[in-house]
Amino acid sequence: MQNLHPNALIRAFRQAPWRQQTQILAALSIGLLVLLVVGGLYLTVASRAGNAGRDLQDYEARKSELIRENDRLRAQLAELRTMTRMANRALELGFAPAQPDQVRYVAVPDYPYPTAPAAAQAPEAAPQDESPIDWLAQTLRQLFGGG
Amino acid sequence: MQATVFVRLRLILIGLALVTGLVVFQLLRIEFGAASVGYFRGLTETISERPREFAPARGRIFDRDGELLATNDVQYELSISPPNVTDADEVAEVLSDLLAMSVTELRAAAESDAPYVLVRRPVSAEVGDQIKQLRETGAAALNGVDLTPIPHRVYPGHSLSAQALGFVGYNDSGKQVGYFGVEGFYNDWLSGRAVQGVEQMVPFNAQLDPVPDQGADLHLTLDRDIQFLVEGVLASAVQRYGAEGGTILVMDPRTGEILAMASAPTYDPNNYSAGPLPNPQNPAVGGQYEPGSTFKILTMAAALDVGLVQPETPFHDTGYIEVGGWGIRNWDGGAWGATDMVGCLRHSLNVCMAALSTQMGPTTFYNYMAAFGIGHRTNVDLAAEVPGRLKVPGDTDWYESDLGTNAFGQGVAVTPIQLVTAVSAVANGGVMMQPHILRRVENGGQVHATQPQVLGRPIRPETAATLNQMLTQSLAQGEGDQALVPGYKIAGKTGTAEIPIPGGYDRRQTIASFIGWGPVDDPRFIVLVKLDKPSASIWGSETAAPTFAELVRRLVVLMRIPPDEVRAALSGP
Repeated sequence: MQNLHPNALIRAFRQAPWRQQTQILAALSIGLLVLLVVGGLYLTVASRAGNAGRDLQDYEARKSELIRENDRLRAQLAELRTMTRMANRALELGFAPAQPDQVRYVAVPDYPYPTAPAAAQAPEAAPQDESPIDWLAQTLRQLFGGG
Repeated sequence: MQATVFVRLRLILIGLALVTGLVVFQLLRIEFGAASVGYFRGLTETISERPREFAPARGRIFDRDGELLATNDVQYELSISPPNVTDADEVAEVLSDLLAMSVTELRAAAESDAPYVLVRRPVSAEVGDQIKQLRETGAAALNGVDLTPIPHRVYPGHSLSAQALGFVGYNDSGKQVGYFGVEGFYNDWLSGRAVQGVEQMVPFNAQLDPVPDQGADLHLTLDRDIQFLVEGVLASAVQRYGAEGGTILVMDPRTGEILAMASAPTYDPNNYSAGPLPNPQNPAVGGQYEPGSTFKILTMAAALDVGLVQPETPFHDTGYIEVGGWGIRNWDGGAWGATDMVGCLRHSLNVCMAALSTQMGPTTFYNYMAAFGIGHRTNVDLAAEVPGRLKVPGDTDWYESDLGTNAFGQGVAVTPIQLVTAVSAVANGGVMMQPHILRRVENGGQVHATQPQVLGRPIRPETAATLNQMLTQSLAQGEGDQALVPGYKIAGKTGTAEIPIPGGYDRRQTIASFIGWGPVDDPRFIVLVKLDKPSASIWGSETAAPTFAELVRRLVVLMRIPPDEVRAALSGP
C-alpha cells in the first residue's frame, strides 16, 4: 500500500471537483436567498403600499358618498322645515297668525332693544353708472342752460 | 458519463443566459430605444390615470336667521357601456320602466358598437337609487349601466323668494351656472373654483384628491317669515283685485337691507324650465313702470328742500295748468280750489305738482331727481337690474312738457327697488341707504359681514322730517286712509298710473301702488305694494293701500314692533 502524505490528501480533498461545485452552488444559493429576501421584502412593501392606496381610494369614494348623503339629508330637512309645511302644521294644531291687538308687550328694564347697525362712511350721492361722457354732457347742459 | 452531464448542464446554463439576455435586451429596447416607446408609455398612462376636474360644492344660501333657502342634492348621469352589457334585453326593459323610455331605443343603445352611450342627464336621485339597489341585490342584470353623480341645486321652499334667488342651470360644458337674482349676481362666489388634477387608477400611485376652493355660503338679509307673509298677501291681493300680477318690496330704510321681495306670477326654481319664465324674471329690479302719484313724494321733497314751499304754503287749484304747450289736469279732472301743500298731497293734485316743478325749473328739478337716483341703477346686488328712464333736458326725446308730467310720475320710468330706495331717504332723515340683499358671507371659516352704506343725502334732515309729518297727515285725512294701521303712525302715498301705449295712455288699465313706511318716528320698514292692471278697481287707494295695511298689520308682529303708545311708554320720560 502506497504511503500518502497527509498534505497531499488535504490538497486532493480541496481540489476535488465536487467540492468546488458545492462551493459554487452554495454561493449561488446564498445569492438566490438574498434575492429572495429582497424580493420578498419588495413584495411585502409593494402589497402594503397597494393596500394603503386602495384604502385611500376607498376613503375618498366614501368621503364623496358621505358628502352627497349629507347634502341629501340637509335638503330633506330643509324640505320638512318649509314655511308652507310649518304653517299648515301650525294651523292643524289650532294656531293662528297673531294680530297686533293680540300681542301683549311687557317692559323689561335694560332689555337690549334692537337698533340699526351704524352705517359705513358714505360716498357722495353720485349716480352709480354715470360715465365720463354723461358727466361732460351734464356739465355742458348746466353751463349753457340746455333745455 | 460525468463529463457528459457537465456538458449538458453548461449548455442549459448558456441557453438560459441567452434567453435572459434577450429578455433584458428587449426590456431595454422598449424602455429606451424602440420607436414604440411612446405608444407603450401612453398605454400605461391611459390605463393608470386620467385627468379630472375636481369641482367644489356650490355654496348654500340662507336667510337672515340661518334658514336654508338653497342647497345641493345629487342627481345622476345615466349611461351605458355596451361592451360591458351582458343582457341587453333586461337592461332595456328595466331602464324603460324606470325612465319611461322606449325599449327599442334602449336596446339599440345597449347593443351599440360605441364604447359609451349617454342615456339621460339628469336622472333623479330616486331613480338612481332604485337602479343601484337592483344592481346591488342582483335583482336585475344591469352590467354596463353606469351612474355618475352630478351636483344638483335644490330650493326647499320651491317658489319662495324665487325672483330674489334666481336659479342654477347647466351651461354647454355641463357646468352649473347661476342665472338671475342672487345666484346670478354672486355666481363666482357661490361656485368656488375647480381644480384640475389627475385621478390615479392604480392603487400604488393613489393620492389624496386635491381640494378645490369651496363655494361661499351666503346669508341674505331676507327674512323667510316676512317673505312668506309677503308672498301670501300678494297672491291674495292679485286674486282679490283681479290683477295681472304685482310686486311687493319690504326694506329696512335705516340700513337698506331688503327684508322681502316678491312678485306675481312666480315660478319654481327647482323646475324653472317647466314653463316660460316671467319677463322680467324679477320685476322688483328688472321691471320699469311709470310710478304715477307715488312719485309726488320726490317732487314735494325737492320743493321743500330748495325752500320753494312750506307745508302751509297756499295753492289755488284751478284744475288746469299748461306746461310746454301741454295741458295738465288732476286725476279726477276737477278743480280743488284753495288748499296748501298738505292738501296737494292729500288730494294728490297733478296740477299742484306740475306748478312746483315748473317753479323749480328743469335744472333744479332734475338735479334732485338724479340725487334720488332716478334713471340710474341702484347697484343692488341682484342680477339683471335696469336703470329705469328719466328724460332730461338735452335728450332728443325730452320736451318742456315733461317737466310738468314728470312731477306727478308720468313720462318717467322707475323700478320698484329704485322708488323704494329714493323714498327711503324721506323715511330715514334724508339719508338714502344702499339697498342690498347680502348680509354675510362665510367661506372656509372666514366670515365677512356686509356693512350698511350710505348711498346719498338727497335732502336735508329737516326736509325729511317736515315731509314725514305732511305725508302722515295727508294719509290720515286723504284718499289713502285704507292704508292706516291702528296703533302705528304710518306715512305714505298712493299711486294710480295709467299705462303708456303707443300714441298715449290706456285709461282703462292702471298700475295701482302704495308706498309707505313706519313707525314714522323710528322707521323699521318701508313697503311698496304694486298691483298690475287690477280689474276690481283701478285706484291704488282702493287696492294697493288696503293690501299695504293687511301686510303691515302682520309685519309689525313678525318684526316685533310695539305700537306707538307702548314704544313711547317703554322709552320713558
